[in-house]
Amino acid sequence: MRRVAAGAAPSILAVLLAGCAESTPILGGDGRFPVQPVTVEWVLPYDAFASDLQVVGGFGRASEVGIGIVALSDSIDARTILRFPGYPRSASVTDTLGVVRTDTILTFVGADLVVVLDSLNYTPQGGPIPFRALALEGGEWDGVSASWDHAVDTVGDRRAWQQPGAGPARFMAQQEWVPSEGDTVVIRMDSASVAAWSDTTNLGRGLRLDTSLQGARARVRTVTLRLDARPSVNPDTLVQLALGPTALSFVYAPVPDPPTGELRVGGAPAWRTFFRINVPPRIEVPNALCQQLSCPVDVTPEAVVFASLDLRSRRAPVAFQPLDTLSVDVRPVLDPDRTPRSPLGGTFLPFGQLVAPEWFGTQPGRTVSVPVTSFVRDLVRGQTLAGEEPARALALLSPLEPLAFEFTPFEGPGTDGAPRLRILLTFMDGVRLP
Amino acid sequence: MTLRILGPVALMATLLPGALAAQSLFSWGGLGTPVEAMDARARGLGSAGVGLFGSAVSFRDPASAMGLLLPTVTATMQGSRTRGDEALGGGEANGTRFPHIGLAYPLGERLVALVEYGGYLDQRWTLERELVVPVGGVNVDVVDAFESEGGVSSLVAGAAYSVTNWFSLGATAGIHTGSFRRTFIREFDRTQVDVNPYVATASWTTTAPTVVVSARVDPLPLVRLAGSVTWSGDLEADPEEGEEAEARRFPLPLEFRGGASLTLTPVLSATVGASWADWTSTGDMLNEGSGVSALSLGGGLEWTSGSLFGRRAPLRLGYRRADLPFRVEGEKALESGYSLGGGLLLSELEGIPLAAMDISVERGERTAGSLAETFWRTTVTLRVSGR
Repeated sequence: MRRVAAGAAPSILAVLLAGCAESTPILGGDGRFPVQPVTVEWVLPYDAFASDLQVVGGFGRASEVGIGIVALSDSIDARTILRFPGYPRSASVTDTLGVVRTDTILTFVGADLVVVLDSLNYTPQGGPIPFRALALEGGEWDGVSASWDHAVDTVGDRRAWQQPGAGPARFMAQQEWVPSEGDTVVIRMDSASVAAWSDTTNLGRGLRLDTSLQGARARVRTVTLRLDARPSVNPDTLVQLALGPTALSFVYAPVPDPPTGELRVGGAPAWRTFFRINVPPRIEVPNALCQQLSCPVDVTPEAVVFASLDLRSRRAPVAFQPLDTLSVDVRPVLDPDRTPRSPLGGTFLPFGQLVAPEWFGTQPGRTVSVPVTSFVRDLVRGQTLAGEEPARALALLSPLEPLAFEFTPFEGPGTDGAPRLRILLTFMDGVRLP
Repeated sequence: MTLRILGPVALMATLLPGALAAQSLFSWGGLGTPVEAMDARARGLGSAGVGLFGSAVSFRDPASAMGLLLPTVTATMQGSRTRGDEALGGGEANGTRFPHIGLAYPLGERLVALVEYGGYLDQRWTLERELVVPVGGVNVDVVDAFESEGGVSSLVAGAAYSVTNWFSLGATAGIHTGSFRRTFIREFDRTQVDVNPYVATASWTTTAPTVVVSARVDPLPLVRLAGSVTWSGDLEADPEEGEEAEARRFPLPLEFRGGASLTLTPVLSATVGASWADWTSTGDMLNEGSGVSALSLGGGLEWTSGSLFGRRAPLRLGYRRADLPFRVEGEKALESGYSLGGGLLLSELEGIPLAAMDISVERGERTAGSLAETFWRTTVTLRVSGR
């Protein structure tokens, strides 16, 4: 009796709850399926889907990376340049009677240049690395657009340095960085240099950080000028005032040439790779997939369950090998005829496809799959879901430009690792009534 | 008052989208399982829905409305719990539906107008399987699901007419209407490949005309006989707008129902019923499965002397076995079960029932060859009359 009650109770309850206890009956069993779908992988070689490859550099400026680079080798010479704002005109200090007062007559007697470095990524490992501080004397320069050759490089105004590489510059001080002692190197500046930098009417004022050690390379995270000031209300004491730079950038040479047989993404200024994509409308004989499919078979957007652009990483030039994990973004090119100036569509990946630094150094040849499923579906459909003309070209680029000084190269057409378009397709005869 | 009567009908109508919820794993066969628009009293007596003593709004026996003296609304709710055996995947399902809602409106002493909405076929089920699919040299775990949703209901209007005080006729006409939606989904194990599910779907709307004719005879004071014939035109399944699915047409069979009741003692009566429909021509149009000549037989006893809280409360006992219209995996499918039911007259005025509730609980099984499922089915009918 108890079993009967337990069995009947749910059905009675279902009536009382009137629809709150719905569950669809689920049957098992392979043989009962009224459809027999087939999933296959369709791999298109580069020549079968891509054309009009363009690798274009110059997007963004080095100053937008937000860090400095110091390097010296046979393949690269990189220097960090920076400028500090005008010095503070007053400071709150304690006078000889112990009263805190605002002193507007400060005398700057010296300063420390505090340079914070990336202590994880530098060469030679273990150091020491000597850093030189030089005062720029090449005339007016622009903290945003300055490059190795040009002090100013803006629209309608391009002026070269007197000497390429942010020169000339006057040596002021040098200090070795010993990484085992910390991530900071402090360079003591004399009062004359400090006094010279206080002239804000001098648009050429600035500082260059470089190294004299062949094979050295380091990234400058931040630079702070720690001023020593003598207040007039208490001349027996010194107060310290810290200033951050108003401009922090780097210049380098040589700029890598546009590549052949290579796709390139990133760097500062950044590289982009553009190419058109075409997906064949059907799979036809001869094709190995026809052993599983009834060829010819039309490719439909619904059949595309996944699509990726498979790239093969290659070794980057030593000076430009990534030091950190970077990211490769892919976006549709909305007007391919205007490449590289075409506007781009939204990203397919919120943060791009992450790539490890060693894939472009010690472990080249790694496959990087960039998902492009919705893009390929639109191409196959001949229109977007909104009914608009689909984009027919892609751009590979950094999610943020520029993201880093280093760039990520991939094997290009004509190489063994040329890009492939990998599409997973599921085919079925259609859903029918019994 | 009419509005007060129609109110519950409107309320039920708002609940109808869920009216054809799953009731059987065997819905997977052919066009599905029948949803018999019977009330709790007929269920409790194992009848075919015709030939019961008294007056009622009955989908399959419009003549039985003769004798209703006041406008009457009747609504039937049904809950079920089904469990399949291992051969069916061990699946379990719960469902609730409204297999019948009806309105009767007396127009004089010899005529009663009828509007009814009832279930006809249930097509809600899901098939699932797990398999391994080689994708690009990697074996990927995949779950396939094939979902079927929808069903067919009937909306009819007509009347019951009293030819003599012992002979009544009834007829309703209307349409079968509904929809089928079938969806296949292949889900890939996203820990192995980050792949979107593959989804293919198609939807159809279905319509067919239908007519029900019935007759009720009381040849002796203690005997009632009744029979009905349901004719249905071809069920046309047309793809919904924008769908590329194939249009289909399924002939629906003539359905014959008969029933008889006999008073055994002043407080005890017996009833028997049978129905028959030949679904083979429907089955001939199926790509999968086939139809059968489906016969149902049943009967029960009603004891009317019971009372609860001082109100009349009859008790019922019944048994019924019925062939299902479509074969399942090539085997003829059969539903059988016992029922226990009761009623409660909530309100009456000068011997005329104003509000009543009936309930039945059925315990049964469906079998097809080696396949079997058991079910509990509870049916509740509320009837309200007023002027």
